[in-house]
Amino acid sequence: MKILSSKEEILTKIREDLFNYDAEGIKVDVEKALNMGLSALEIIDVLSDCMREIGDKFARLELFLTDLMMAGDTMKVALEILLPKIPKEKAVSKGKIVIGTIKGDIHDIGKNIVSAMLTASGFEVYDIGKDAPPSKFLEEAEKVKADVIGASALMTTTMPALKDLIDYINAKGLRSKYKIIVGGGPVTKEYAEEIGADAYAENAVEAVKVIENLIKK
Amino acid sequence: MFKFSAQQQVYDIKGVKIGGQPGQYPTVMIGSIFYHGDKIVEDQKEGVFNKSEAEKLLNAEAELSDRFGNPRIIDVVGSFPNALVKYIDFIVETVDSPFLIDGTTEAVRIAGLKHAAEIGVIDRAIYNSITPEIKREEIEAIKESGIKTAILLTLNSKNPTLQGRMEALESLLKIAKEAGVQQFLIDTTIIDIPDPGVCAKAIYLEKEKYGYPAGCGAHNAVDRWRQIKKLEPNVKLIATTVANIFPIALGANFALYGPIKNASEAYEMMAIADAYVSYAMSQEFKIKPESKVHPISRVFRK
Repeated sequence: MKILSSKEEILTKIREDLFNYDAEGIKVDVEKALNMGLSALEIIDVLSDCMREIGDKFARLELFLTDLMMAGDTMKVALEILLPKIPKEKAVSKGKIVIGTIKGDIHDIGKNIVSAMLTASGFEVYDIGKDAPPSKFLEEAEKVKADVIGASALMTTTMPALKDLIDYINAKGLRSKYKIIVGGGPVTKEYAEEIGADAYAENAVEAVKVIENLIKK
Repeated sequence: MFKFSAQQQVYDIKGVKIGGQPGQYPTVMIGSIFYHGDKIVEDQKEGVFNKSEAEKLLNAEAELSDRFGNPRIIDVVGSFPNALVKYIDFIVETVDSPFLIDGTTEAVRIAGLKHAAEIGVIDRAIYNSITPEIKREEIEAIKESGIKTAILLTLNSKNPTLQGRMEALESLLKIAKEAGVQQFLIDTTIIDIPDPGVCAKAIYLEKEKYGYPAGCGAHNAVDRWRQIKKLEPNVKLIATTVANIFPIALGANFALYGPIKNASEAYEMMAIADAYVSYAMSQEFKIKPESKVHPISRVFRK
């Protein structure tokens, strides 16, 4: 029988908290782990593995949208405690993303899930909400010095507003500053290419991978 | 089966009775027409459609409604204001049924609402839908129209769980009352593939607490299941049947069963479920259908 060390035990507990979407539990256990001498980076490593596993399970239809959102929210609680503990020289943000649902569209469940998954994966996410005009996307991107702008539309009637956003950024002469990713129910890879977006993702898990690649480019 | 402890509301919308304890009234069937992608629509912006095909679909559904005893409401969907107005004109001229004013944006729904009030059919209309994040302009338009009945969509985009749906319901009831709505139909909001169980339980909890008529669009769960195309061809029908029956078994009063072209299968499955529920309720609680026009006396015979 393998005897777990107390450090292994607390990390196992933190994993369970994340898989059970237990925000209260993770708060207590992360604090406990830090008090036991575990570093914030060690804990984040474990949590990141869990999030990858959750993403894989989602891709295999073993977990679903609500699970992604709840896991993302639970991870967020842990990161709020852990991120400030990371020494500045070791703190690595994967990138800054401004995300929102396009003007005229109030459907934001998908966007919220993408937002939660990106945060959970180590990106700095600036969520501007729903029904957001192009100017709001660009203002926020300029303000936070974003790397990526992500926009979603859930209806065929609001999909053209994605093109309006890209046209607006083009017209302001700032297109080359940002990578733009689009998504949402009726949006396709072909449509994304047609309107001049840099990338498209079908779901939240794919969005994380695509944005990781976009930023590397 | 079970009996809800809260007093159950039963509404009479132009002769269609909706609500009550399980087995008291048949499930009200709500099928959609003129939705995005409906093949009878030729120009969705201008509201041009094939009238004879639309009549055929409506007549076929009327026959099913007569055969099984499940009343119907028509879900009239538009993507553009002028189009929805034309669809409503056609529906009120062609059938006597109540109908849902359903649009993809608030501008479309408000146009439908104003038109229904102008042509004097607001008492046949049901607003689809009030959501927790509705804008002030839409609330005012609902109030001004004098519409009495609305669907309340328990959409909680921050917390799409069972608990989140129940929390959304609390705020929806406040908003609907503020908008002057008097009759509430609760749609427990299918979002994802495995949601019919959650939505069915939300229906149960709502009716146990408040007693308002409730239901959902369970077929949406199957429509979201894109990978189903890779499975055996009969899986879709099996999944749709199970998804639709789950809410009925937990007390639903209406089913938003999807495109009206699917009426044949939808009525068959729902009528059988209604008959099972009715028989169980009559044995255990002596609750019998309020009318002889009920699937229990129709569905098992030719």
